[in-house]
Order: sequence, then structure tokens, then C-alpha cells
Amino acid sequence: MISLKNISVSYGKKEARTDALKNIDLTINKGEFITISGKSGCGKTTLLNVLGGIITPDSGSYLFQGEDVNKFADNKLARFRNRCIGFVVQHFALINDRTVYENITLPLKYRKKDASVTGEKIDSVLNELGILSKKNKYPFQLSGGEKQRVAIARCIISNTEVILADEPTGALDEETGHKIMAILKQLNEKGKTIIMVTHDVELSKSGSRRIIMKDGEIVDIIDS
Amino acid sequence: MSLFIIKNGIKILRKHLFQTVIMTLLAFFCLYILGAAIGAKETSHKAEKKYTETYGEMTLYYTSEGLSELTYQNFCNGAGREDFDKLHSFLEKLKNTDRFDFVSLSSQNLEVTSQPFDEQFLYGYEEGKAVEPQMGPDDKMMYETKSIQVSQKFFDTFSVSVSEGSGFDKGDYILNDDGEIPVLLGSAYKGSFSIGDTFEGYYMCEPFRYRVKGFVGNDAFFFNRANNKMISCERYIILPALYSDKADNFARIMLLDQVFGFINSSIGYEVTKQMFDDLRTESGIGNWNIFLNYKGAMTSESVLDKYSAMTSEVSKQFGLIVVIMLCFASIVNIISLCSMLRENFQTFGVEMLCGASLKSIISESSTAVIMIMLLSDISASLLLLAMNYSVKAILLVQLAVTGIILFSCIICGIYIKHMNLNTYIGGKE
Ligand SMILES: Nc1ncnc2c1ncn2[C@@H]1O[C@H](COP(=O)(O)OP(=O)(O)O)[C@@H](O)[C@H]1O
Ligand SMILES: [Mg+2]
Repeated sequence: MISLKNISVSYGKKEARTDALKNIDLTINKGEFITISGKSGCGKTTLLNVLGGIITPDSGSYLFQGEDVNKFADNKLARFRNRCIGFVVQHFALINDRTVYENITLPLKYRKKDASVTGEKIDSVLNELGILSKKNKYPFQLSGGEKQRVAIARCIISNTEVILADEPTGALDEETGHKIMAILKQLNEKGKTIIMVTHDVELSKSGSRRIIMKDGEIVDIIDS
Repeated sequence: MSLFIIKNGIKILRKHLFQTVIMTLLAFFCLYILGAAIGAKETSHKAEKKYTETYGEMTLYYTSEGLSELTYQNFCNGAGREDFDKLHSFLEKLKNTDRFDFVSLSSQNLEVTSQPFDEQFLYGYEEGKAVEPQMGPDDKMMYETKSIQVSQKFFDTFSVSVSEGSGFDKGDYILNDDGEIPVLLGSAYKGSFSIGDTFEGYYMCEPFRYRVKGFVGNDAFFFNRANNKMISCERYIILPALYSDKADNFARIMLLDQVFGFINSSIGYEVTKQMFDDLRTESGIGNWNIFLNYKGAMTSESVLDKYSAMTSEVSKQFGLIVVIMLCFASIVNIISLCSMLRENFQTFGVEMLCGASLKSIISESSTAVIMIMLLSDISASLLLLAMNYSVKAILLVQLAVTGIILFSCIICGIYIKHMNLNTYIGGKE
């Protein structure tokens, strides 16, 4: 489903230049649970940014279901993020002055009306995640674990094929982190493709494949 | 979806209510000033046109006196009143002839003692140094205000109309015993005085009470020969050229002062001068030094030159102030706008993740700017309309608003691109 060939990304110019990704080759199949680990600064987030259609790499090709994402213009790239990618990040990526409900329905606003997403559907998702009572609360009124559930609810409602998670448990205590991991695993069992960045060795073992990175390169891929 | 973008734009404004209010007020202020400046320029153009129409065929000659010491002493302090009556009869003949128009126009300042007057009304203000108020003889502060004394024909000759209240009647040109002098005020006095109000002060060292009879229009000008300039009447007090039959020292000085003025004639200098001298001889003052000056005669062209030079200078200065103000306000507004956008980095970042294109994020913030501009535009236009500014001025403001909106949308675009939303997750750690 996803195929990266020879992807390179660098930031800055001349002396300030950092090569964040160097010739990355990677293929990911539908329904996989991939974990990416490695030291801080090795390029994990940059790789997620490429996969999510947020930055366009300097060179290489990125095929998503056969389409060349690198060739997408601003509009089409936005539609790609909207339809195909869900994001769960360390700091939750919620808009603070909008309610939980407004936050989770945000992706729907950038699409034509979708009849399959009803009020009941939204309530049942929130209920499953245990945050139905928070529907009309604002993010600053929620705990870290609840905020992360809201971000996950947003992915479920917008029903994207792929979920990109960047240190989803990084800002949470251990117990809450485990609960979030369990939710992600459940989603994977229901067929979502999940790509999760973590520098926690234990968590990195929970996927179906472990990708180890160092200095912008993939140094090892371990099947579990 | 476009409705959603507009809603988001409004949300930004609601979140930054304080900045929004400040920006709206500033923009409102600027638009109003812009409209008023355009309107004022138009009025001065109109006045200029009217002036051309009125004075296209006119030639002004100065009248003045330079009495010898002896004649002067006799006139002012002599025991009898023959000299006084002779001069009076000469001036009456000048005023009443139908061959030309004589306008008496002198400028003795009033020294107001009853209340402080704003600096703009004081003598010397236009030259940049208004005279300081001084302690008067009765321990009251004296404010030296600009004032002119005019005869009846002044109003027709200089096309000065009374916009509020009423002009001087025949009786107003005769000094009363009740110590009250009727006055007309320039348009700048409108906020400070109403018709019927009185104030007190010295006119040629004599105390009087002055009663406001009316206001002259804001397009009223007179020609000041002291500096060869057309002067707007807006900050002047206009007194009638007063006659007092008492023939006392005060009445005599006042009368002599009325020799200063203009003759507006279309029959040429030689003929006019001949008639002027004949009237002098008839009145028995043929040997007094009273002049009709050819040198310095103002033809309509040179008057017009001065006139347009004066108005363009005023509008240039005014224009400069307006431009500086607009620049200042624009800078403040652009800075507020950018800081408002900066504070929305989180919001825009999340929207970007959820599928907003750069274009829709820019539209969203542009909506906020457009709202601010429309709000201030509507209020400024309504105020301009209420203040009777011309439709043209208001339309030009709309044009400016369109330009400002386009410009701010471009600023939004550039700034949001510059914000690097793609560093929203990750970025430098
Ligand atoms: N926007 C940016 N500008 C400049 N350098 C950046 C930027 N984002 C990341 N980097 C650099 O690129 C390298 C990889 O960063 P990142 O992908 O965030 O690493 P990780 O997520 O593995 O910690 C780091 O050296 C980082 O400093
Ligand atoms: Mg990272």
C-alpha cells in the first residue's frame, strides 16, 4: 500500500544543513502495525511527516496505493491528508478553544457531506473510548489520557486507512500509556494500518514489524 | 465548506476580541479621516471654482490712508467734529456709488477677557506661534483673537455666506449705547459657541460685550493685504465696521480705520481713481493723504493664483498628516494581524493535519481581516454620510477599502506561508 524509494530530506542550507533522512526505502502493507524507534534526532518524525503528506521530500518517490504523492499539489495533498491519514501525536494536536465534538468532526468539514457519519455513530465511538461525557468539554478540561482518546476518536470518525502516531504515549503516565496502546492495537485488529514512532524499547516490540533508525537511515527491520 | 471557513474566521476574531476591537477602531478612524480629507479637498475645489465664477472679471485696488501728523492730530483730537463728518461723508459716498464696490476691511484683534479661547483662534496661530495670553488691566487674562471688521459689501464681494443664524442688518453697523457688538464667527467656532452666546473683551482698547449672531460658511475667504494671502474665515471673528455718531476719540479712530479696504472695479484704474479723488474733493478732504493704490492692484488672475496656492498648500499639509496617520495605523494593524495569526499556529496546524489546504487556512484568516475592514468601513461610511460628506468621497473610501483588503489578504498569505505549518509536528527539538 505504501512504498518509499530512495527518500531523502534535508533541512536548512549550507553549514546549517541537516540530512534528516538519507535514501530511505520502505514498503508497508495494509493492516500492518509498524513501530519506528531510534535515538532522538534520528529522523523518525521527519519520516512520519513524509508519510503524512506534510512535507515533500527532496528526492525519491512515495507511492500510496499506486499514486505518486510527491506530485500532489497543495489542494490534492490536503485531500490526501484528509482522506487517508489520521494523526495521533505526543501533544494531541487538538484545538483548545473548540469542544471535543468540534475537534473530532473537524476532518469532516473538509469533505463533502458524508451520510455514514451520524450523531449516533459519533456518540457510540465516544462511548467505546469512554469519553462520551466529555463531548461538550474543551481540551483544557480533560486529562492527558482523555485528550489522546479524543485524537484517536477523530481518526476513527474520519475513518482513514492509515493512522500515524508520533510518541502517542510520550506525554502520559505508564498506566494511561498502556491503555492507549491497547486501543491502538484494537484498531489494528479491525484492519487499520498503524505506523507508530516510539523511543520506548518495550512499546516498540508491540508491532508486527520494528524499524530501527539511526542518523536518518534505516539500520534494521525486525519481524516479531 | 466556505461557510465553515467564514465561521472559523469569526472564531479567530472572537478569540482575540481585544485586538479585534483595537484594529477595527483604528481602521474606522483612518477610513473616516481619509473620507473627510477627500471631502475637504473637494470643498476647497468647489470654493475655488465658485471663486473663479464670481471673480472672473474683477480687479481689486487697495485703499489706504497716510495722514500727515498734523491732519491726524486734528482729526483725532481736534475740538470740532467737522473732520469727522467730512470723512464719514466721503466713506458713505464711496459705499453708495454704483460705479464700483467699496469694501472696508480692517483687522484689529479682539482681546477677549471673559473666557479662555482655544489656541487656534489666537493671533499668530497660522504662523506657528499663537500669542500668549496676557494679564489685562483689570487682572483678567486677555486672549488676543483674530478678528476683522467689515462693511456691508464685504459679504457679496468675497462671496461670504452666513451658514447659520443671520447676517448683519443695517443697524448692526451703528454702535449701540448698550456696549454690545454683534459678531459673526468662522466655522471653526461652531463647537465652542452657539447663536446668542456672548463673551467680553477689548476692541481697540474699549471694553465691549459681543453677541454671536451667526456663523459664516466653511468656504469663506477674505484677502489679507498684510501678507498678500487669501485667508479662510474659519478661525476669525467678524465685526461690523462700526459708526458712532458721538464723534469721540474712539469713534474717530474707528472711522479712520475704515478707510482701509478694497475697491472692486471693472472700469479701469484711471477712471476709478478720478472718481475716487472727485468724491474726496466733494467731501472736503481733497488734500488728505488718502490713496487708491494702483501698485499692488490685484487682478482676478493674481488673486486666483494666491488662492489656489493657498488651498493647495493647506491640502498638501493636511494630506501629509493623513498619509502619516494612515501609515502608522496600517503598521499597527499589520503587526496586530501577524501576532493574531502567530497565536493561531496551533489551530492552523491542527487544521492542516485534518485536511485543510494552505489556501483554506489563508482564506480563513483573510475572512477575519475582511470582517474587521467591513465593520470599520460600514461605520466610517455611515458617519461620513451623517456628516454630509459627498458620495464621491464615500465611494473613494470604498475603493481604498478594497485596496486595503487585497493588501491584507496578501500579507496573510505571505505570513502564513512563512509560519511553516509543516513543522507543526516534530520540527526542531
Ligand atoms: N524544521 C526543521 N528545521 C531544521 N532542522 C530540523 C527540522 N525538523 C527536524 N530537524 C532536524 O532533523 C533531524 C531529524 O529530526 P526529527 O525527524 O524530528 O527526529 P526525531 O523525531 O527522530 O527525534 C534532527 O537533527 C532535527 O534537529
Ligand atoms: Mg520526534
